[in-house]
Amino acid sequence: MDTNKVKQDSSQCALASLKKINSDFITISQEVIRELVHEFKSYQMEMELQIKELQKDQLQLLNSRDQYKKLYDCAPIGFLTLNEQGYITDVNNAACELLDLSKIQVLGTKLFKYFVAEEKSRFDSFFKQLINSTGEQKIEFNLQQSNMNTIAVACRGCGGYTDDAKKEVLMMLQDICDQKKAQQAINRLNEQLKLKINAQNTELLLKNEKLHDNINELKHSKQQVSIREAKLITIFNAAAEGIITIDEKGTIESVNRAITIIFGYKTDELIGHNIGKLMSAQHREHHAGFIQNYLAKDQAKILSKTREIEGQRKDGKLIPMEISISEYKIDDKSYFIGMIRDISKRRNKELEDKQHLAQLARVTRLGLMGEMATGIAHEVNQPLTAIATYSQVCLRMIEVADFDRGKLKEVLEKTENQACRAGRIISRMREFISSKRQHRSSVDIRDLIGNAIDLAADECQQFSIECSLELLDSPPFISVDEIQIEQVLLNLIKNSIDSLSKMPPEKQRKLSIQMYLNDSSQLETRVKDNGQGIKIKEQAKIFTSFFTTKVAGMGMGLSISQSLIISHGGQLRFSSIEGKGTTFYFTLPIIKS
Amino acid sequence: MEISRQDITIFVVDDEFIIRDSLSLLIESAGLKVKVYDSAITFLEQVEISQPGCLILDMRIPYMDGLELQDELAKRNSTMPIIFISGHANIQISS
Repeated sequence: MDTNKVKQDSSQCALASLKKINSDFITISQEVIRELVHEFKSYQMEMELQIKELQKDQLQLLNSRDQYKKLYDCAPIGFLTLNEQGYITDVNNAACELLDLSKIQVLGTKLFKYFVAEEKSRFDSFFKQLINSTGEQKIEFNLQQSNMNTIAVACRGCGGYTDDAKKEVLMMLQDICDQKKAQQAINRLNEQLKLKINAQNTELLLKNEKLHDNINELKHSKQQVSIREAKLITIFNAAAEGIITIDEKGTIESVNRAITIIFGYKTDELIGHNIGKLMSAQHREHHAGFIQNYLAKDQAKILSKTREIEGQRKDGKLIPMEISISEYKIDDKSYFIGMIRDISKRRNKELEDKQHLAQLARVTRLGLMGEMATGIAHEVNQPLTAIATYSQVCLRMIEVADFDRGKLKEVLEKTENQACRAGRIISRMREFISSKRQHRSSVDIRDLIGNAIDLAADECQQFSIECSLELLDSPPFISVDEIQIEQVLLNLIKNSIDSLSKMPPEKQRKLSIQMYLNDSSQLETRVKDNGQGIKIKEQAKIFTSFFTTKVAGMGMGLSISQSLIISHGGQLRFSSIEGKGTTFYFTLPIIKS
Repeated sequence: MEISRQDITIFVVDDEFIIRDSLSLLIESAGLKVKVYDSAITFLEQVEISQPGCLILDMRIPYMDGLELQDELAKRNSTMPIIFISGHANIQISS
């Protein structure tokens, strides 16, 4: 620019000087001319110098221009110059590459057309802004390449003026596809990350919720457990039975209130002590190796079975107890729970009941004997009569001088036999009435039936009762109190006789005693008659004490009989049809060989 | 008509063997003939009731007791004397 200005200045000076010459030309003296020539010459020299300098500048300028052009063309950023109408007036290589066109193809075209359709209007307004200002503007566009690919570009532009003062726009285009892609990738990753975080968040929330639920559940369970525990503790302590837990060594872990009442110890006097403390010396000794033995052999013998043992109170008193033991395991260690019941009261009651029953039985026996006294008297009377008669025979025999000694001996033996028979009847009666014999012995029930029939024989005869026996040839033995079972038999026989005696005389009166082995391997004995039978409304009451259909009866016979049979582990039942007869039958457990 | 002691038979009816046995020994020791029966029925079946003799009869015997046999004999116009015996001291019970 400077060079041009200088040129202008110099030519203006020359013109001004020429004008001066033209006006003053006629009056010019030689001197003046010489001066002027000199002046011209110096001007000329100056001009030549100036021209040289200008040429040098021009060269420099051209070089710089070439350099600039190279830089312009090779810049990695696309440069474009647009004229006022938007036509491309200049473009560098990078810009051509962006448009995927050659320079020739690009120059003279409108940049406008290289934008994707939907962004053309946006570019239009951007371009107008640039034209109307000189400031720098930035914007991002999508360019459409000749191969129809779309690439994202960052566009930076500024308005300016051409050398001839026309408006133009300089524009830089930068491919931001990679950047965009990177951005997109980052966005995508961010998105994914967000999703993942969200997912994890949701998961965590769910887990959290679950944990909350679990906590609530646990709280609830805990509450339930404490309620149950409270209940159990209440039950534990309220139980009438003593409950005690021990470990493998026999050390007491816990006791309930009943234990303290049964044994008279306080809780803290027991916990941590050995179970032996509660046992009698005899049991203590026996128990010492008991648990170890149990654990070693793993035998279920002591478990789930009620046993009777003897415990010892704090005051030293021995108490009969019933104990049942069960085992539980925690972490492979065995613990035992003992349920203990003080049975001293029950024992006493049992004893009382037994005594009471025995007394009642004795009374009934006396009653039975009383009722049958006439028959029994006859029973004894028979041998006595025979003895008297035999004795008379003997007396008469020895009055003859040479009596038959052999015959006398025979009669005397018969006499002796009858005396023995009378003695046996008396002693059987005595045995029957006395309640001293309580022990059980192994007996053949046929003997008892025989005895009872013997005692009742006279009455059978009196009332013309046909008595038959259907017994097993070799029945199994039973373990019973002979007198008691005999009493039951006699009682049943007596009842039958009583019923049969009221039958009209023309009817055949039958009493039979039968014997069976029933399904449950018990010996069943039946006393059957074809008497009056028992009225249906009376059937339910016949085992009740003091119920009787007899005028002079006590109403104890069947009630006692039933008690006796039950105490032997059997059952006494009957079946009866009014007008047809009655069968009483009782079972007794047999002795297993 | 004189009846010889040898013609007389003593009949004993009792269900108890020892009573029959001891009585028959006693009667024999008095030099009399004796026949024993264990029931009224066998007596009626086997004995000609018109023959001379005497009946020793137990009150309480099965099936047909002493009094029933007495009735039956009366029905058959028997004149045989009867001596009742009983192990029961009480008349009420015996009958």
